[in-house]
Amino acid sequence: MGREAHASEESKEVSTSNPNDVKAGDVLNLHTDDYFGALSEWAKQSKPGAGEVEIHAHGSSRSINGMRTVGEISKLLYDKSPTWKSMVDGGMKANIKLKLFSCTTGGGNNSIASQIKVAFPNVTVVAPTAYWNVSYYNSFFGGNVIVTGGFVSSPGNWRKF
Amino acid sequence: MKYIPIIIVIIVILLFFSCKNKVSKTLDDMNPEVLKKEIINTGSIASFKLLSMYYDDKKMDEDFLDISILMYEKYNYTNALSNIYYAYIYKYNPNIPFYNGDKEQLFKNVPKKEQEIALKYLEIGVEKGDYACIESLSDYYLSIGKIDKSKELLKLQEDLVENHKKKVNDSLSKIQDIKK
Repeated sequence: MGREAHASEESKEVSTSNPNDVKAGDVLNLHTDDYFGALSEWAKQSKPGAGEVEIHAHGSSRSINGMRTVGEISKLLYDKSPTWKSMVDGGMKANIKLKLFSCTTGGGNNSIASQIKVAFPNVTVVAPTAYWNVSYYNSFFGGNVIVTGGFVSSPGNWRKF
Repeated sequence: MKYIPIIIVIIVILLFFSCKNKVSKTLDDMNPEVLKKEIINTGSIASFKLLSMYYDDKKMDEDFLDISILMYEKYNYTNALSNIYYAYIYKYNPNIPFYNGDKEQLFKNVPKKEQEIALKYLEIGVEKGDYACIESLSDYYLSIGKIDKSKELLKLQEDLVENHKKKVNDSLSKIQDIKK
């Protein structure tokens, strides 16, 4: 994986919605367990803009939801994201954005985010270098999870590839 | 009537705790021993994925080899096959953080007999079309100079990707036909 991706930083706090407040992109929410309920709730409320794809899943610096190869991740995206499928079917020319709401997927050298960038140079990949957290509280009535914000654990940041 | 103040205090306490801001849990909050028990007892794929990710960023222990073999042999979980290969590498390179190094070079430190076992599992994964096994075996062949075999596997992966695209597009066409 020869090329080293260039990193840049964005704000740690992330808005729950895009400026138009309309879900035009794709959200892949792979959180299925109660243990990470707040993270799943965040995914449900997210509204990526056109040309944007988000993956919400458990992650490590080398994998997303246990997938350690770009091939597996791309296969999943091709199945579940019309934006990604359209980009691949169009000869990988469209400039789209892939945002990984998955812990540490942008951390270290040769992270899984940087590997995706190498395989898909037309895709801007954004991933956290540390843990991705969601702050929340449980509603008194019914116990629903109310998400109040999302942030990357200090001293991490969002990293753009 | 004398209980009303007590009831009010209880309600206020409940409201305070229920509305208290919390932060979502991370891999740091996990207990790998609990995950291992779940995997051994139920073959939980979710727990296996979490454990493998936990080891990506933490120090691996030797249990992961047995657990990966169990996940494939008992619970028939194909994605465990590449993890068996990684776990063998770690077993003989315990001081190198998982993935922080050239896998193929580190694999050379694994005794011959166990190399054969690890490669056998990768081959099973290749037969099943597992991308991680194809990639690992291709990289292994490249590291020992068997370039043709490595290319053969990369071609297999490309074919699998194309077949997958075709399947997805065929399914979408069928759905559109039904809608018409």
